[in-house]
Order: sequence, then structure tokens, then C-alpha cells
Amino acid sequence: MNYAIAVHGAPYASEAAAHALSFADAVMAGGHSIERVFFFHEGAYQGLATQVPPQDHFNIDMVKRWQHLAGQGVELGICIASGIKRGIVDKAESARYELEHPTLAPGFELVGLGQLIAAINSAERYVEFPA
Amino acid sequence: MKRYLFIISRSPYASSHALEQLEAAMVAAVFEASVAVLFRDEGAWNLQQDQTGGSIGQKTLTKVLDALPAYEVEELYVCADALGTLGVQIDPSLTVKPINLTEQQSLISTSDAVITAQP
Amino acid sequence: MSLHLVFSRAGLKACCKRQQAGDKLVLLGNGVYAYTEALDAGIQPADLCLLAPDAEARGISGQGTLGLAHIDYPTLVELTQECSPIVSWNE
Repeated sequence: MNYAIAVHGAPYASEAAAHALSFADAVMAGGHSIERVFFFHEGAYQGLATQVPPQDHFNIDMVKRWQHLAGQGVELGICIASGIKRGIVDKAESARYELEHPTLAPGFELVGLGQLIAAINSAERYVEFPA
Repeated sequence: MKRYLFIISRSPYASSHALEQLEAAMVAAVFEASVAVLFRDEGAWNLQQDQTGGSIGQKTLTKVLDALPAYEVEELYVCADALGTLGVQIDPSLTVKPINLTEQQSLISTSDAVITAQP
Repeated sequence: MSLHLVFSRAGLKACCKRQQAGDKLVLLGNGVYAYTEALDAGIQPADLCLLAPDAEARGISGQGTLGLAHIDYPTLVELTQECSPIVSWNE
């Protein structure tokens, strides 16, 4: 089966990343596919490159785990509207708004809201992780 | 054609939840999905008459709701229990159908994708 | 048959009113604390389960949850295949 997954929770404020990653890993291990992981609202913060989790905090692995998933060919799409308003910008948006640095972590990309709908349209199941 | 249900559970202005859900509903409609929106619990406040978002520098939510038919998002529902409990006075310019919990069960179970977007 | 992912007590309250007999409910995150409330609301034990790592983290052990199933992520994935739609409840 093909899945569309949405993440709405932010790091530290929720377990959304842990839930979504463990679910995504189980989906892939089960021989299924993921159309896209779409990060919406506060979930956009999952793709912030400048996070410095404490050394002994479980979140230290989260961005790496997302990037590992991206390395398996899963698209990690951060809603561009949710992202840029929260300061998660790629090179293009950073230049457009004359900001100092891009802040989007490698492995993630900024995409339009239409990519959430396209993912749901293409997939057989849609699963949301608010927390 | 997939059937989408967007559930709005938060009141306007204190968070961007309702606005972002409605934007997503409009995008889904552009992709030619069948789209319904259900306002439940505090989300019923989005329907309140006489809102002036400009008083706090925000877009008036009911004006966004007024634009939905232009995007072919016309199936708007509100939880009848929420209306009763909260005392919401629905803006007369809106066409929203109060539905009971049994009808909400059916609305959910007949949808292909339910988007709740709760943070 | 729908699958309801319940992440909190508030989410459970909203879910219970809107789920149909035969739907499946999974308690995750803080939702695991609400297993007795789910049963009190009339959810059938066979239709209810807890996500095992989340329950274990919170000291909610299998022994204490009245025979309810504690599932792992592969089982959660299986449930998502059997049910549609999948609805998340957090408030």
C-alpha cells in the first residue's frame, strides 16, 4: 500500500516526529511505500537545520532519522506557507526575502499545499501525526 | 474522485488552525476532490456573526468562509451540540448545516481522507 | 470501518462521540492514560488497543490494562491497511 503521512507537531512540544518516524519505518519494513511525508503548521519546525538538541536528548537523532528516510527515496515536504512564516527557508526563499542564511535541513524541501493533496490523491491511506 | 473531510476544532484568531484548514480545503477543491468541512467544539466560533478580525490586525474569518463557494467548497457542517453548548450565533451570510453526532459519524466513515491538522 | 488514532484524553472524548460500532481505536502518546475512560465510554475491548512503547514509557503495563492489546508499530501498520479512513484525535 502507498501512504501519505502528515506531521503537525513540533519538536519538543510533541512526540509527532517519533511517532511518524517509527510508523514510516514500519511501513517501509513492511514492503509498502510512502508517497510523501508532509509537514504542516508547527510540524514545519521538524525541518529546521539549526536545531541543536542537547547531547543526551532523544531529539538528537530526529533530523538524522528524517534524513535517513529521505535517503530511502521518501520525499519530505514542508508546507512552504507554514515553513517560511516560521523562518524555515531554503536558498531560494532566503534570497527572495533577503535573509542571511537558509535554515532548511538537507533532505527536506519546501513544497506547496497542493503537494499534500496530490499525495493524498495518489496514496491509498492518509495518516496524520499531531502529537 | 476522493472525498475529503476537513475538521476545524479551534476558534479563530488565537491560532492559524482554522485559516490554514480552509486554505487546504480550497486547494483540495482545486484538485477536483469532493470537499466537506466540519466545525466542531471551539471550531464552531469560526461561524460567529459580526467578526471584525481587523480589530486585532487579522483577516476576518467569516470573509474567508464567504469565499468558499467560489472554490466549490459548499458542504459546510457544524456540530449541533457545539452550537447549543457555546451559544454561537451563525453569521447569516453563511450556509452551514448543523448536524448531530450520528450524522458526523457517517460523514467521517464515508470520507476517504479526514484532515484534522491539530498541532 | 474507520481507524481512530487517539493521542490524548481530550482527543478520546471527541472521538468516542463520533466513532461507530466496529471502528478500531488505538491509544498513542498521552492517549494511553485514557484506556479506562475508553472502556467506560462503551468502546468494546476487542476494538481498543494501546501502542506498546508509549504505554511502557508511561508505566502503563499490559498487566494493568484489563486485557487490552498492546500493539507494536508493524501491527499499527496492519490496522491502517484494514481500515479507512484513519482519523487522528488530539483535542
